[in-house]
Parts: sequence; C-alpha cells; structure tokens
Amino acid sequence: MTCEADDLIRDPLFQLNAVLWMTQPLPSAAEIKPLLYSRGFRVRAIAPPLAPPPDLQLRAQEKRVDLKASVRPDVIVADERGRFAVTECKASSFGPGSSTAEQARSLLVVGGPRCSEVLALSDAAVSRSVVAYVMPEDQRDVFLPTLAQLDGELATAKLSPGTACIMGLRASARAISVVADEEARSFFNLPNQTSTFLTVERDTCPRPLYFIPYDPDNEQSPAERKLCQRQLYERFLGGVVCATGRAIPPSNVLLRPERMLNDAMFGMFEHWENRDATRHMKKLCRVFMTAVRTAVEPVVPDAIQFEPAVGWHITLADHDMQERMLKALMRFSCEDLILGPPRPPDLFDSVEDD
Amino acid sequence: MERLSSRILALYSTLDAKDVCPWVNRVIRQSPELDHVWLSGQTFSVLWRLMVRLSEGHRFTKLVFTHERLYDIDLMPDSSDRPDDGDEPVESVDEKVAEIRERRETRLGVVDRVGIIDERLSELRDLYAPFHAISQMRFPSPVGRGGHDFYDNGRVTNRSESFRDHRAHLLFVVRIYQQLLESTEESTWYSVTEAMGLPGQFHRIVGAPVSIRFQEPGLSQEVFDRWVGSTFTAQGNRFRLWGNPIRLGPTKVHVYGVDRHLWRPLFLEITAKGCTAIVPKETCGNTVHRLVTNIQRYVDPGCEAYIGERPYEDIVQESAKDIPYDVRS
Repeated sequence: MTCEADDLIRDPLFQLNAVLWMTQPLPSAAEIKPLLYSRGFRVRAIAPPLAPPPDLQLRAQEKRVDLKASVRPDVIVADERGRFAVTECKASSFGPGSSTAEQARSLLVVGGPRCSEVLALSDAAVSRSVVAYVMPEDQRDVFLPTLAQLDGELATAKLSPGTACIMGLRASARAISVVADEEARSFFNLPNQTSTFLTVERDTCPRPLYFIPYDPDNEQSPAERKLCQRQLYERFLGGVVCATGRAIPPSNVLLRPERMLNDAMFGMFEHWENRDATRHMKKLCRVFMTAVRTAVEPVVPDAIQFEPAVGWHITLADHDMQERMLKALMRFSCEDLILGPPRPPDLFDSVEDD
Repeated sequence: MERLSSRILALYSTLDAKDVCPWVNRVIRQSPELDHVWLSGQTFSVLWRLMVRLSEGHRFTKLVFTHERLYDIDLMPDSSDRPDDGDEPVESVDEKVAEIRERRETRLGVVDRVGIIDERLSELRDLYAPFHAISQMRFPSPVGRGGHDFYDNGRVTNRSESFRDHRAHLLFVVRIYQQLLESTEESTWYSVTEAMGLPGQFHRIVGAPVSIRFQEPGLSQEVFDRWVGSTFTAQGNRFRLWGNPIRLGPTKVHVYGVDRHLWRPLFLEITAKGCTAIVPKETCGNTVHRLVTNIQRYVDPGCEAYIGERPYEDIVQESAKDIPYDVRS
C-alpha cells in the first residue's frame, strides 16, 4: 500500500501525526527529525476545547464578527520558556467568507494576547503565543490574504488577534520538509527556512507510525480513509488477540467497545466530545467485531456473543478452545475487511450506538 | 524458588542444564505472566565494564559472542525458525543427512584474563561486528576460584565454590535489571495524561519511541523480506511477535501487532535501516529488552538502540549507577 508524498502532506491526519512526531524524543540518526523537540517544544494538549473570553465574544456579536463559541485546535505545543503555539492542520487554504473562517477567527483570538487566560494559566506562564497553521506549502500564497483579512477584521473590532504563522509542508522525491515563514522561524527557533522532517525512499510511502490512527472529523481522500481504517482495525484486532491470549481458561473475556477504542488510541477516545464522531467510531468497532465473529464461527462456534449496551463476550472453555480462537483471530484479515463490499445495516445498528 | 525482587524470581537447581532448561522454557512459553530476563549484547557491554572495574585484571573470565544471521541464508529459514528455547545449540549427529544451509553464524567463546580481553575488545569490535553480540559473560568470583556465568536469556550458572557469592552476583544483576525495566517503562509507555490548565480538560500523549538503527548499509531486500515474513507469519518465530504487516514499500512495513509472549500490544515500523517501536502503556518493558536482544542476536550484531533520544547503553548504565556490589549480601 504505497502513496505519493505530495498527496500525503495534504491529509490533515498525516499532518497531525507529523507534528506529534516532530515533538518526540528521537536520536539524531532517526529517519524522522524531531524539529520541535530539539528546540524544546513538547505537546501540551491534543484537541483541547478552548473558548474566546466572554467579553470578546460579546464584542464580536456587537461588531458582527463571526466567531465560533468554542474551538478545538489540533494540538498545542509549548516550551519551558512559556512559548505556546496553538496549532491547526489544514489540507488547504480557505476563504475569509467560508465556514472555516469562523474557526480561524476564534483561533486567532484564543492564540492571541489573552492566551494565558484561555488556557487557565497565569500571565507569567505564557511569554509568547502564536497560531501555527500546518498546511501544504503550495497553499501558503493563497492563504496569506485570508489571514490578513481575518486579522484585520479582528483588529478593527478590537478583538485582540494573535500572531499567525504558517508551517508549510513540501514533498520532494527525497524528503518531506517544513517551510517556515519568518514568524515561525523566530517562534520555533528554526535555523533555516526549509528543514527536512522526513526522508522519502523510492517507491515507499513515507508515512510514519500513526499515534492517532483515525479521525472521522478529518476530510480525507477515500484511499487515505481506507488505510487509516485499516490501522484502526489492526489495533482492534491486536487488542482482541491480546485479551484472548492473556486469558486463563476457563474464562469469559468481555470486550467493551469504549475500551477497545480507547486502547487503540492511547486513551484519547474517552476524551472525545463530538457525539457524531464517537457514534461513528463505535459503529466501526461493531462492523469489525461482527466480521471477526463471522470469521471465527466455523472454527469456534458460538464462542463470541454480543450483549447490547455491554459488548462482546468471548467464551474460552479450555486451552484447546483458546488455541483455536487465537489461530482463527490471527488468520483474520483487516485488509480484506477494508477492501470488501460494504456491509448492509443490521437490526441493531441504531440501538448499539447508545 | 526465590523472589529476588517485586518482578523477578529465581529458580535454583542442581540439575544439569540440559534437563532443567527445556522444562523452564516450556513453563515460560506457556504462561502470559512469565518471561525470561533478557540481557542484550548492549546490556552485557555495560555489565562487562562494571565487571572490569570490580575484578582484578589477572582473573580469568569468559565471554561468548553469538550471532546467527538467520535471515541471511540461501534457503528459507523454516525448520530452523523455531522458538528460542535458550539451550546451547545441539550439533547434528548425522551430518550426512543434514540439510546444507549456508548462512552467517558466529559463536565464539573466549576464556582469558579480564585485563587482556578488555584491552582488545574494542579493536575486535571494530574489526568484526559479532563481537558486539555478547551472549554469555562470567563474573569472576572474588571469594575463590571460578565465577558466575550469565546468559542472555537470564540463565545463570554457578561455576564458583560459593553459593552465597553466586546469589550475591545474581542479586546485583537483578537489581540493575529491575531498575532498567522500570526506567524503560517510565520512558517508553505511551498513554494519555492530563496536561496543563483545568484538571480533566486538557490531555496529551506522553511516551518515547524505541529506535534501533542497523549498521550501514542496512538490510538487503532478501534479508528484510525473510525477517518480516518469518517473524509475522511463523507461529514459533524467535521474536514471539505477531501482526499483519502493512507494506508501505519494498523495505518498509508497519505492524500494529502483539507481543505473543506476554500478549501485549506493540507497534512497529521496520525498514531496511532500522526498527521503531511504540510501546503502549502496560506492555512490559521486558518486551523492549527481548526485542533488542533478539535483533542483536539474529539480525544485526552491531545495531544501536535508543530509548527516546538516549542510547540504550546509557540507560543501562544509569540503572546500574546506584546498585551496590556487595558480595556479602
């Protein structure tokens, strides 16, 4: 499963995972360069819910400036000196009249002079803040006028906009690089305008391991979405295999969808607040487990049973059954599940989401 | 049986190794709660430096270097890709019917004075990479003749005149290993924690990746394919891993897989240049040490391992820093 680097840099989930990798402790010989970690920046929050201060929201209403009441930037990175970057990943530029512009105005406010207040930190804790946009470098020139207009609108309305910078991603035959404008170079202390972040090998997809394997809120190409779903399913499968392997028969292993999702996402799932997204994820979990149950049924009949509102029970009567279950699970193909025909809805589709 | 620490126990036996080791290996293999202690070549290198400081240069010691380049052969490693039972390799009795199999394999034992080996070891390593892959090391006994042989899979043989001294050395290494386990888990475990601001509001992912970099020029296409194919499809593979490799290129795969020994998740990126692991929280640190040990033994003896940005050896060194070497304990 390969992909073009130039397509990858336009995928917001890749961009988010790229930012996360830039903040990881890695040796200098690693294939991924920890551009931000090496400059002291660490992840401080992922998708935190932030709201512009109430007085600014009221002023925005008076001045008829469209602000979102709350926003969730993709990630906040910060260093020990109190420099905070409210970071948002975007597949492409957008216009000042678009619905995305509302979010952008709110980001400029929350990442502005009152950032410490928005983050519930003391003034001394935030020495400098910026709104950092991560997007394909070829979108920069299109985006700059939008940023300028939004900044102007906010400044005119005295809504205290913050400084914005753009971290452009550029793909070549050999590397994916970060192109930083002057503000980004100054803020993140980057030495050059262009810094290689990831090396690209011939005929090889440069994507790294994903911390966040899948996010239904992200606009992705169908191919990317399939790959990300596969990543999620492989993690589900690993979780089911682990739970089955660790059991000491005779036993009943209970797999709750929330636990499966949380384990697949390092615990991030339980903090998701988007109800549609969580319902979608639970549905994926159900699709997966239904397929697994069908696949193992000929080998270990009736061993996996579903209990609505609870989860799936795997009954392991003895070691022999456990071995057969493990073998059947390990033969299961998530790739076939992704590439196979769409599953028709079943009787419990709406019931099981709650 | 003796519980030596909160997580490590010792089984003492006067039986011959060929009788007790298969049984121990079977018990461990069948239990998701038990694993060997894994002493990689890099861990042994740290223990070697400690031993050199603690022993007099004229004492005899023994080092064994083992590297079996399992995946760099002229045939597919099917029958040879058996679980590592930790026993000494058994020579084939009937060589006439043994399958002719050519591959790189190093098994060198050196018995000499501590000072002499220490003088030459780094030169030997510069000349020939398998000299990084220490699989057995003897601590000379300070209270008499002989010493204590530590093996890479946690087996320890008392070749001294004193059980008390043997146990003291066991405790010394175990304490270092326990500290190493805890340091590894503290550093590597990926999980979501609360971050700044109001409690419960903001969350971030913490942890550190484990990186293993192969010596230049890295693995050939054939070796890479054999290693990946064998490791993630053969049931009894040496690495005790399972997963469905997601192929991203001729020499790159992602595996969101499982450590089959302890049944915990482990996420891997494997390329011809190295391996990166993300260790989810509660996956035992032993999984990391087993991975490093086995890569050094079966793939690249001269590989360099890192936990986060720190060299693996530095972490082992730090784990040993405050551990007393007290032969009276």
